[in-house]
Amino acid sequence: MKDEELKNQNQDEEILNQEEAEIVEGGIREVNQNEFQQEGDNTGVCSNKGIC
Amino acid sequence: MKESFYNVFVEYKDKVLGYNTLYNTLIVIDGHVYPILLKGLQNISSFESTCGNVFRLLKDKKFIISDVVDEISDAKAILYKTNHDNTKYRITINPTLNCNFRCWYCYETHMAGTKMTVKTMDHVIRFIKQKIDEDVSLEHLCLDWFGGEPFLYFKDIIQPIILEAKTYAEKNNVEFESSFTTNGYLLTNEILDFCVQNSAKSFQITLDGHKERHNQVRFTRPGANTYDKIVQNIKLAVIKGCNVSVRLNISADTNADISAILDSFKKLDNEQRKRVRFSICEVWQDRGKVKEEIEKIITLIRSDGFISNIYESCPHGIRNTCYADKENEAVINYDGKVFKCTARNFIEENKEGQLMDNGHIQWNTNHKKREMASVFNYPHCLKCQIMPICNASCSQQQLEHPDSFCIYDFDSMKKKNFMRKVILEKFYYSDEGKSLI
Repeated sequence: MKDEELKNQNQDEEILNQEEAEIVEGGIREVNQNEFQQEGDNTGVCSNKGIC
Repeated sequence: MKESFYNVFVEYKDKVLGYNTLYNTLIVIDGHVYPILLKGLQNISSFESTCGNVFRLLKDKKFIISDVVDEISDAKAILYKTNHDNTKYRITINPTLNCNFRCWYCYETHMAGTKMTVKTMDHVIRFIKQKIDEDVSLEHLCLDWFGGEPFLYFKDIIQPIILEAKTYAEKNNVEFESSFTTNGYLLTNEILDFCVQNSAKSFQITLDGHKERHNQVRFTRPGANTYDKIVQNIKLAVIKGCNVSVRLNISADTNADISAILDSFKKLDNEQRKRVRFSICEVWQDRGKVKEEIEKIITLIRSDGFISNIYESCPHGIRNTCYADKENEAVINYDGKVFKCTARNFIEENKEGQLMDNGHIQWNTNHKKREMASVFNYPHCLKCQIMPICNASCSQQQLEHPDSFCIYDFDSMKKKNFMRKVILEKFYYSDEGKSLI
Protein backbone atom coordinates (compact mmCIF):
# COMPACT_ATOMS: atom_id res chain seq x y z
CA MET A 1 0.00 0.00 0.00
CA LYS A 2 1.31 3.43 -0.88
CA ASP A 3 2.17 5.81 1.95
CA GLU A 4 -0.55 8.25 0.89
CA GLU A 5 -3.24 5.55 0.93
CA LEU A 6 -2.07 4.36 4.35
CA LYS A 7 -2.25 7.89 5.70
CA ASN A 8 -5.79 8.36 4.37
CA GLN A 9 -6.88 5.07 5.88
CA ASN A 10 -5.47 6.07 9.31
CA GLN A 11 -7.23 9.41 9.15
CA ASP A 12 -10.54 7.65 8.63
CA GLU A 13 -10.09 5.57 11.77
CA GLU A 14 -11.90 6.68 14.91
CA ILE A 15 -9.17 6.97 17.52
CA LEU A 16 -11.57 7.54 20.42
CA ASN A 17 -14.70 5.49 21.06
CA GLN A 18 -17.98 7.16 21.98
CA GLU A 19 -17.43 6.89 25.72
CA GLU A 20 -13.92 8.38 25.52
CA ALA A 21 -15.15 11.19 23.29
CA GLU A 22 -17.80 12.10 25.87
CA ILE A 23 -15.19 12.12 28.65
CA VAL A 24 -12.98 14.48 26.62
CA GLU A 25 -15.90 16.78 25.77
CA GLY A 26 -16.74 17.16 29.45
CA GLY A 27 -13.23 17.53 30.84
CA ILE A 28 -11.54 20.46 29.11
CA ARG A 29 -12.29 24.13 29.72
CA GLU A 30 -10.88 27.42 28.53
CA VAL A 31 -9.26 29.84 30.97
CA ASN A 32 -9.18 33.57 30.29
CA GLN A 33 -6.31 35.63 31.58
CA ASN A 34 -7.10 38.89 33.32
CA GLU A 35 -5.67 42.29 32.52
CA PHE A 36 -2.97 42.30 35.17
CA GLN A 37 -1.26 39.33 33.62
CA GLN A 38 -1.67 40.48 30.05
CA GLU A 39 -0.41 43.96 30.70
CA GLY A 40 2.44 42.80 32.86
CA ASP A 41 3.78 45.28 35.36
CA ASN A 42 0.90 47.51 36.40
CA THR A 43 2.97 50.12 38.17
CA GLY A 44 4.79 51.29 35.08
CA VAL A 45 8.10 50.34 36.66
CA CYS A 46 9.83 47.23 35.41
CA SER A 47 10.26 44.80 38.26
CA ASN A 48 13.30 43.33 36.53
CA LYS A 49 15.19 46.59 36.51
CA GLY A 50 18.76 46.09 37.56
CA ILE A 51 18.74 42.30 37.72
CA CYS A 52 19.19 41.39 34.07
CA MET B 1 -4.41 20.63 11.11
CA LYS B 2 -1.55 20.02 13.54
CA GLU B 3 -0.70 20.51 17.19
CA SER B 4 1.20 23.66 18.04
CA PHE B 5 4.84 23.03 18.95
CA TYR B 6 4.37 25.44 21.85
CA ASN B 7 1.70 23.51 23.80
CA VAL B 8 3.00 22.77 27.30
CA PHE B 9 1.21 20.88 30.05
CA VAL B 10 1.86 20.62 33.77
CA GLU B 11 0.15 18.44 36.30
CA TYR B 12 -1.35 20.31 39.22
CA LYS B 13 -3.41 18.59 41.90
CA ASP B 14 -6.13 16.64 40.02
CA LYS B 15 -5.82 18.79 36.90
CA VAL B 16 -3.49 19.27 33.98
CA LEU B 17 -2.88 22.91 33.12
CA GLY B 18 -2.26 23.65 29.46
CA TYR B 19 -0.48 26.73 28.17
CA ASN B 20 0.52 27.72 24.67
CA THR B 21 3.70 29.74 25.10
CA LEU B 22 3.49 31.27 21.61
CA TYR B 23 -0.16 32.31 21.47
CA ASN B 24 -0.43 32.95 25.23
CA THR B 25 -3.56 30.86 25.79
CA LEU B 26 -4.66 28.68 28.68
CA ILE B 27 -6.84 25.61 29.13
CA VAL B 28 -7.51 23.36 32.09
CA ILE B 29 -7.98 19.61 31.72
CA ASP B 30 -9.34 17.16 34.28
CA GLY B 31 -6.48 14.83 35.16
CA HIS B 32 -8.21 11.63 34.04
CA VAL B 33 -9.09 13.21 30.69
CA TYR B 34 -5.54 14.17 29.74
CA PRO B 35 -4.31 10.72 28.57
CA ILE B 36 -7.49 10.27 26.52
CA LEU B 37 -6.97 13.69 24.96
CA LEU B 38 -3.40 12.77 24.01
CA LYS B 39 -4.66 9.58 22.43
CA GLY B 40 -7.33 11.45 20.50
CA LEU B 41 -4.86 14.01 19.20
CA GLN B 42 -2.86 11.26 17.47
CA ASN B 43 -5.31 11.70 14.61
CA ILE B 44 -6.57 15.24 14.50
CA SER B 45 -9.09 14.84 11.67
CA SER B 46 -10.70 11.93 13.51
CA PHE B 47 -10.60 13.98 16.72
CA GLU B 48 -12.48 16.78 14.97
CA SER B 49 -15.32 14.45 14.05
CA THR B 50 -15.57 12.72 17.46
CA CYS B 51 -14.92 15.68 19.81
CA GLY B 52 -16.17 18.68 17.85
CA ASN B 53 -16.60 21.07 20.78
CA VAL B 54 -13.16 20.40 22.26
CA PHE B 55 -11.61 20.53 18.79
CA ARG B 56 -13.10 23.98 18.27
CA LEU B 57 -11.88 25.10 21.72
CA LEU B 58 -8.34 23.87 21.01
CA LYS B 59 -8.43 25.52 17.59
CA ASP B 60 -9.73 28.75 19.08
CA LYS B 61 -6.95 28.68 21.69
CA LYS B 62 -4.43 27.74 18.96
CA PHE B 63 -3.41 24.49 20.61
CA ILE B 64 -4.41 23.08 17.22
CA ILE B 65 -3.36 25.13 14.20
CA SER B 66 -3.47 24.89 10.43
CA ASP B 67 -0.78 22.79 8.74
CA VAL B 68 0.38 25.84 6.81
CA VAL B 69 1.11 27.96 9.90
CA ASP B 70 4.81 28.70 10.34
CA GLU B 71 5.04 29.30 14.07
CA ILE B 72 8.53 30.81 13.94
CA SER B 73 7.21 33.42 11.49
CA ASP B 74 4.35 34.14 13.88
CA ALA B 75 6.83 34.50 16.75
CA LYS B 76 8.95 36.91 14.71
CA ALA B 77 5.88 38.99 13.89
CA ILE B 78 4.82 39.14 17.56
CA LEU B 79 8.32 40.15 18.67
CA TYR B 80 8.56 42.82 15.99
CA LYS B 81 5.20 44.29 17.03
CA THR B 82 6.26 44.33 20.68
CA ASN B 83 9.55 46.09 19.99
CA HIS B 84 8.22 48.57 17.46
CA ASP B 85 5.11 49.90 19.14
CA ASN B 86 5.05 53.48 17.88
CA THR B 87 2.19 54.47 20.16
CA LYS B 88 4.49 54.57 23.21
CA TYR B 89 7.80 56.20 24.07
CA ARG B 90 9.66 55.65 27.30
CA ILE B 91 12.48 57.91 28.43
CA THR B 92 14.50 56.94 31.46
CA ILE B 93 16.34 59.89 32.98
CA ASN B 94 19.24 59.72 35.40
CA PRO B 95 19.39 63.18 37.04
CA THR B 96 22.52 61.99 38.89
CA LEU B 97 24.59 58.86 39.45
CA ASN B 98 25.14 59.82 43.05
CA CYS B 99 23.20 58.10 45.81
CA ASN B 100 22.60 58.73 49.47
CA PHE B 101 22.77 54.97 50.15
CA ARG B 102 25.65 52.54 49.98
CA CYS B 103 24.17 49.07 49.33
CA TRP B 104 26.71 46.26 48.94
CA TYR B 105 24.97 44.64 45.98
CA CYS B 106 24.51 47.71 43.80
CA TYR B 107 26.10 47.25 40.39
CA GLU B 108 26.45 50.96 39.77
CA THR B 109 29.55 53.02 40.38
CA HIS B 110 28.29 55.97 42.41
CA MET B 111 29.69 59.28 41.35
CA ALA B 112 29.57 62.09 43.88
CA GLY B 113 28.89 65.52 42.44
CA THR B 114 27.25 64.28 39.27
CA LYS B 115 24.17 66.33 38.38
CA MET B 116 22.34 67.06 35.14
CA THR B 117 23.10 70.63 34.06
CA VAL B 118 20.48 73.18 33.01
CA LYS B 119 21.85 72.89 29.47
CA THR B 120 21.33 69.11 29.35
CA MET B 121 17.88 69.54 30.89
CA ASP B 122 17.06 71.88 28.03
CA HIS B 123 18.23 69.22 25.55
CA VAL B 124 16.03 66.63 27.26
CA ILE B 125 13.01 68.92 26.95
CA ARG B 126 13.81 69.53 23.29
CA PHE B 127 14.05 65.79 22.73
CA ILE B 128 10.66 65.19 24.36
CA LYS B 129 8.97 67.97 22.37
CA GLN B 130 10.45 66.72 19.10
CA LYS B 131 9.25 63.20 19.83
CA ILE B 132 5.75 64.52 20.40
CA ASP B 133 5.89 66.72 17.29
CA GLU B 134 7.41 64.16 14.95
CA ASP B 135 5.86 60.84 15.99
CA VAL B 136 2.32 61.20 14.76
CA SER B 137 1.43 57.73 16.13
CA LEU B 138 2.53 58.63 19.66
CA GLU B 139 -0.26 58.21 22.21
CA HIS B 140 1.61 57.64 25.44
CA LEU B 141 4.77 59.17 26.92
CA CYS B 142 6.42 57.79 30.05
CA LEU B 143 9.24 59.50 31.90
CA ASP B 144 10.98 57.03 34.14
CA TRP B 145 13.36 58.41 36.77
CA PHE B 146 16.39 56.38 37.72
CA GLY B 147 19.94 57.05 38.82
CA GLY B 148 21.65 57.17 41.33
CA GLU B 149 18.94 58.44 43.61
CA PRO B 150 16.71 60.67 41.48
CA PHE B 151 15.14 62.51 44.43
CA LEU B 152 18.48 64.06 45.33
CA TYR B 153 17.42 66.65 42.74
CA PHE B 154 13.65 66.82 42.85
CA LYS B 155 13.24 70.62 42.68
CA ASP B 156 16.17 71.27 40.38
CA ILE B 157 15.56 68.55 37.79
CA ILE B 158 12.52 66.28 38.24
CA GLN B 159 9.92 68.95 38.90
CA PRO B 160 10.72 71.29 35.99
CA ILE B 161 11.10 68.48 33.43
CA ILE B 162 7.85 66.79 34.48
CA LEU B 163 5.92 70.06 34.36
CA GLU B 164 7.18 70.97 30.92
CA ALA B 165 6.82 67.46 29.46
CA LYS B 166 3.34 66.91 30.87
CA THR B 167 2.05 70.26 29.68
CA TYR B 168 3.41 69.76 26.16
CA ALA B 169 2.21 66.15 25.95
CA GLU B 170 -1.32 66.93 27.06
CA LYS B 171 -1.50 69.97 24.77
CA ASN B 172 -0.83 67.51 21.92
CA ASN B 173 -3.23 64.81 23.14
CA VAL B 174 -0.47 62.49 24.29
CA GLU B 175 -1.13 60.70 27.56
CA PHE B 176 1.63 61.40 30.08
CA GLU B 177 2.85 59.41 33.05
CA SER B 178 5.99 59.29 35.12
CA SER B 179 7.52 56.67 37.40
CA PHE B 180 10.42 56.46 39.80
CA THR B 181 12.98 53.92 40.91
CA THR B 182 14.06 55.31 44.26
CA ASN B 183 15.20 54.22 47.69
CA GLY B 184 12.21 56.19 49.05
CA TYR B 185 14.21 57.89 51.79
CA LEU B 186 13.84 61.42 50.49
CA LEU B 187 10.10 61.38 49.72
CA THR B 188 8.07 64.05 51.50
CA ASN B 189 4.46 65.21 51.63
CA GLU B 190 5.29 68.05 49.26
CA ILE B 191 6.99 65.78 46.71
CA LEU B 192 4.21 63.22 46.79
CA ASP B 193 1.51 65.86 46.40
CA PHE B 194 3.30 67.12 43.29
CA CYS B 195 3.62 63.58 41.94
CA VAL B 196 -0.06 62.78 42.46
CA GLN B 197 -1.10 66.02 40.77
CA ASN B 198 1.19 65.37 37.80
CA SER B 199 0.52 61.76 36.79
CA ALA B 200 3.71 60.59 38.45
CA LYS B 201 2.18 57.94 40.65
CA SER B 202 4.33 54.83 40.19
CA PHE B 203 7.22 54.06 42.48
CA GLN B 204 9.63 51.16 42.81
CA ILE B 205 11.15 51.16 46.27
CA THR B 206 13.40 48.50 47.74
CA LEU B 207 13.39 46.85 51.16
CA ASP B 208 16.20 44.45 52.04
CA GLY B 209 14.32 42.32 54.56
CA HIS B 210 12.86 43.23 57.91
CA LYS B 211 13.98 46.24 59.89
CA GLU B 212 17.17 44.88 61.42
CA ARG B 213 18.36 43.21 58.23
CA HIS B 214 17.41 46.14 56.02
CA ASN B 215 19.28 48.60 58.22
CA GLN B 216 22.41 46.45 58.03
CA VAL B 217 22.35 46.48 54.23
CA ARG B 218 20.79 49.77 53.31
CA PHE B 219 22.14 52.74 55.13
CA THR B 220 23.10 56.35 54.67
CA ARG B 221 25.73 55.97 57.40
CA PRO B 222 26.51 52.95 59.64
CA GLY B 223 23.86 52.45 62.34
CA ALA B 224 21.22 54.61 60.67
CA ASN B 225 17.59 53.45 60.75
CA THR B 226 16.42 53.90 57.17
CA TYR B 227 13.76 51.16 57.38
CA ASP B 228 11.23 53.10 59.43
CA LYS B 229 11.51 56.18 57.28
CA ILE B 230 11.21 54.26 54.00
CA VAL B 231 8.20 52.25 55.22
CA GLN B 232 6.55 55.44 56.44
CA ASN B 233 7.12 57.04 53.02
CA ILE B 234 5.78 54.00 51.16
CA LYS B 235 2.60 54.13 53.23
CA LEU B 236 2.30 57.88 52.71
CA ALA B 237 2.60 57.42 48.93
CA VAL B 238 0.00 54.65 48.93
CA ILE B 239 -2.44 56.62 51.09
CA LYS B 240 -2.13 59.54 48.67
CA GLY B 241 -3.09 57.24 45.78
CA CYS B 242 0.29 56.17 44.35
CA ASN B 243 1.15 52.62 43.25
CA VAL B 244 4.25 51.28 44.93
CA SER B 245 6.15 48.22 43.83
CA VAL B 246 8.04 47.22 46.96
CA ARG B 247 11.00 45.28 45.76
CA LEU B 248 12.11 42.77 48.37
CA ASN B 249 15.71 41.88 47.64
CA ILE B 250 16.45 38.42 48.96
CA SER B 251 20.03 37.21 49.31
CA ALA B 252 21.38 33.88 50.58
CA ASP B 253 22.02 35.16 54.09
CA THR B 254 18.77 37.11 54.32
CA ASN B 255 16.44 35.64 56.86
CA ALA B 256 13.66 37.80 55.56
CA ASP B 257 11.09 37.90 58.28
CA ILE B 258 8.21 38.58 55.97
CA SER B 259 5.65 38.62 58.76
CA ALA B 260 7.51 41.49 60.39
CA ILE B 261 7.60 43.36 57.08
CA LEU B 262 3.90 42.83 56.46
CA ASP B 263 3.25 43.94 60.02
CA SER B 264 4.73 47.32 59.06
CA PHE B 265 1.91 47.71 56.52
CA LYS B 266 -0.98 46.25 58.52
CA LYS B 267 -2.76 49.59 58.96
CA LEU B 268 -3.36 49.92 55.23
CA ASP B 269 -6.95 49.16 54.30
CA ASN B 270 -7.94 46.71 51.55
CA GLU B 271 -8.07 49.36 48.82
CA GLN B 272 -4.67 50.74 49.79
CA ARG B 273 -3.19 47.24 49.86
CA LYS B 274 -4.16 46.86 46.20
CA ARG B 275 -1.71 49.65 45.43
CA VAL B 276 1.22 47.89 47.09
CA ARG B 277 2.90 45.10 45.22
CA PHE B 278 5.70 43.09 46.79
CA SER B 279 8.07 42.14 44.02
CA ILE B 280 10.40 39.37 45.13
CA CYS B 281 13.91 39.45 43.64
CA GLU B 282 17.05 37.50 44.30
CA VAL B 283 20.05 39.82 44.36
CA TRP B 284 22.08 38.91 41.32
CA GLN B 285 25.11 37.75 43.27
CA ASP B 286 23.01 35.03 44.97
CA ARG B 287 20.71 34.01 42.13
CA GLY B 288 19.47 30.43 42.39
CA LYS B 289 20.41 29.97 46.05
CA VAL B 290 17.18 31.07 47.71
CA LYS B 291 14.39 29.54 45.59
CA GLU B 292 12.57 27.74 48.39
CA GLU B 293 12.62 30.77 50.64
CA ILE B 294 11.07 32.86 47.87
CA GLU B 295 8.16 30.46 47.40
CA LYS B 296 7.37 30.61 51.12
CA ILE B 297 7.53 34.40 51.07
CA ILE B 298 5.13 34.67 48.11
CA THR B 299 2.60 32.39 49.80
CA LEU B 300 2.74 34.38 53.02
CA ILE B 301 2.30 37.74 51.31
CA ARG B 302 -0.66 36.56 49.27
CA SER B 303 -2.33 34.90 52.22
CA ASP B 304 -2.20 38.28 53.97
CA GLY B 305 -4.16 39.94 51.16
CA PHE B 306 -1.28 41.76 49.47
CA ILE B 307 -0.26 41.48 45.83
CA SER B 308 3.04 39.79 45.19
CA ASN B 309 4.96 38.78 42.13
CA ILE B 310 8.10 36.97 41.13
CA TYR B 311 9.98 37.07 37.85
CA GLU B 312 7.86 34.21 36.54
CA SER B 313 4.67 36.24 37.09
CA CYS B 314 5.57 38.30 34.06
CA PRO B 315 8.79 37.03 32.49
CA HIS B 316 10.54 38.57 29.55
CA GLY B 317 9.22 37.09 26.33
CA ILE B 318 8.28 38.04 22.82
CA ARG B 319 5.13 39.79 24.11
CA ASN B 320 6.85 41.41 27.08
CA THR B 321 10.37 42.43 26.14
CA CYS B 322 12.69 44.47 28.28
CA TYR B 323 12.44 48.20 27.61
CA ALA B 324 16.04 48.06 26.36
CA ASP B 325 14.87 45.90 23.45
CA LYS B 326 12.28 48.41 22.32
CA GLU B 327 12.87 50.89 19.54
CA ASN B 328 10.98 53.63 21.35
CA GLU B 329 13.07 53.84 24.48
CA ALA B 330 16.11 55.77 25.56
CA VAL B 331 18.03 56.14 28.81
CA ILE B 332 19.42 59.66 29.12
CA ASN B 333 22.23 60.01 31.61
CA TYR B 334 22.91 63.18 33.62
CA ASP B 335 25.70 64.10 31.17
CA GLY B 336 23.63 63.64 27.99
CA LYS B 337 25.07 60.25 27.15
CA VAL B 338 22.41 57.86 25.95
CA PHE B 339 22.08 54.21 26.93
CA LYS B 340 19.48 51.49 26.48
CA CYS B 341 20.02 49.15 29.42
CA THR B 342 19.79 50.32 33.05
CA ALA B 343 21.32 47.13 34.45
CA ARG B 344 24.87 47.98 33.45
CA ASN B 345 27.20 50.78 34.45
CA PHE B 346 26.68 54.06 32.67
CA ILE B 347 30.19 54.20 31.26
CA GLU B 348 31.61 55.25 27.88
CA GLU B 349 32.03 51.63 26.79
CA ASN B 350 28.28 50.99 27.17
CA LYS B 351 27.15 54.27 25.64
CA GLU B 352 24.84 53.92 22.62
CA GLY B 353 24.26 57.52 21.71
CA GLN B 354 24.59 61.19 22.58
CA LEU B 355 21.87 63.74 23.17
CA MET B 356 22.75 66.64 20.88
CA ASP B 357 22.20 70.38 21.36
CA ASN B 358 19.30 70.28 18.90
CA GLY B 359 17.52 67.67 21.03
CA HIS B 360 18.16 64.74 18.70
CA ILE B 361 19.92 61.55 19.71
CA GLN B 362 22.91 60.57 17.62
CA TRP B 363 23.08 56.78 17.96
CA ASN B 364 26.44 54.97 17.65
CA THR B 365 27.61 51.53 16.50
CA ASN B 366 26.81 49.94 19.89
CA HIS B 367 23.19 50.76 19.20
CA LYS B 368 23.38 49.27 15.72
CA LYS B 369 24.70 46.05 17.28
CA ARG B 370 21.78 45.97 19.72
CA GLU B 371 19.33 46.34 16.87
CA MET B 372 20.84 43.23 15.28
CA ALA B 373 20.57 41.16 18.47
CA SER B 374 17.70 38.69 18.51
CA VAL B 375 16.57 35.46 20.10
CA PHE B 376 16.15 34.16 16.55
CA ASN B 377 19.92 34.31 16.05
CA TYR B 378 20.27 31.31 18.41
CA PRO B 379 19.53 28.03 16.56
CA HIS B 380 18.78 26.25 19.87
CA CYS B 381 16.08 28.81 20.73
CA LEU B 382 14.27 28.00 17.49
CA LYS B 383 13.77 24.48 18.81
CA CYS B 384 12.84 25.45 22.37
CA GLN B 385 9.25 25.45 23.64
CA ILE B 386 9.90 28.25 26.14
CA MET B 387 11.41 30.65 23.60
CA PRO B 388 8.24 32.82 23.45
CA ILE B 389 8.27 33.29 27.25
CA CYS B 390 12.04 33.60 27.53
CA ASN B 391 13.26 35.60 24.52
CA ALA B 392 16.82 34.66 25.56
CA SER B 393 16.29 37.20 28.35
CA CYS B 394 16.97 40.51 26.61
CA SER B 395 19.04 42.29 23.99
CA GLN B 396 21.74 43.00 26.59
CA GLN B 397 22.34 39.31 27.27
CA GLN B 398 22.20 38.59 23.53
CA LEU B 399 24.84 41.28 22.90
CA GLU B 400 27.09 39.88 25.60
CA HIS B 401 26.70 36.29 24.35
CA PRO B 402 26.66 36.52 20.54
CA ASP B 403 27.38 32.85 19.86
CA SER B 404 25.34 30.90 22.35
CA PHE B 405 23.27 31.68 25.40
CA CYS B 406 20.59 30.12 27.57
CA ILE B 407 19.37 31.66 30.83
CA TYR B 408 18.68 28.12 32.01
CA ASP B 409 22.13 26.77 31.08
CA PHE B 410 20.54 24.49 28.42
CA ASP B 411 19.26 22.45 31.38
CA SER B 412 15.88 20.88 30.60
CA MET B 413 15.03 20.55 34.30
CA LYS B 414 15.64 24.25 34.91
CA LYS B 415 13.48 25.09 31.89
CA LYS B 416 10.76 22.77 33.16
CA ASN B 417 10.79 24.40 36.59
CA PHE B 418 10.60 27.84 35.01
CA MET B 419 7.74 26.79 32.75
CA ARG B 420 5.82 25.29 35.67
CA LYS B 421 6.16 28.50 37.68
CA VAL B 422 5.07 30.63 34.72
CA ILE B 423 1.99 28.48 34.15
CA LEU B 424 1.03 28.47 37.83
CA GLU B 425 1.37 32.26 37.89
CA LYS B 426 -0.76 32.55 34.73
CA PHE B 427 -3.46 30.52 36.43
CA TYR B 428 -3.11 32.42 39.69
CA TYR B 429 -3.83 35.65 37.83
CA SER B 430 -6.78 34.29 35.88
CA ASP B 431 -10.32 34.39 37.21
CA GLU B 432 -11.08 30.74 36.52
CA GLY B 433 -7.65 29.53 37.59
CA LYS B 434 -7.36 31.41 40.86
CA SER B 435 -9.58 28.90 42.62
CA LEU B 436 -7.30 26.08 41.46
CA ILE B 437 -3.98 27.49 42.63
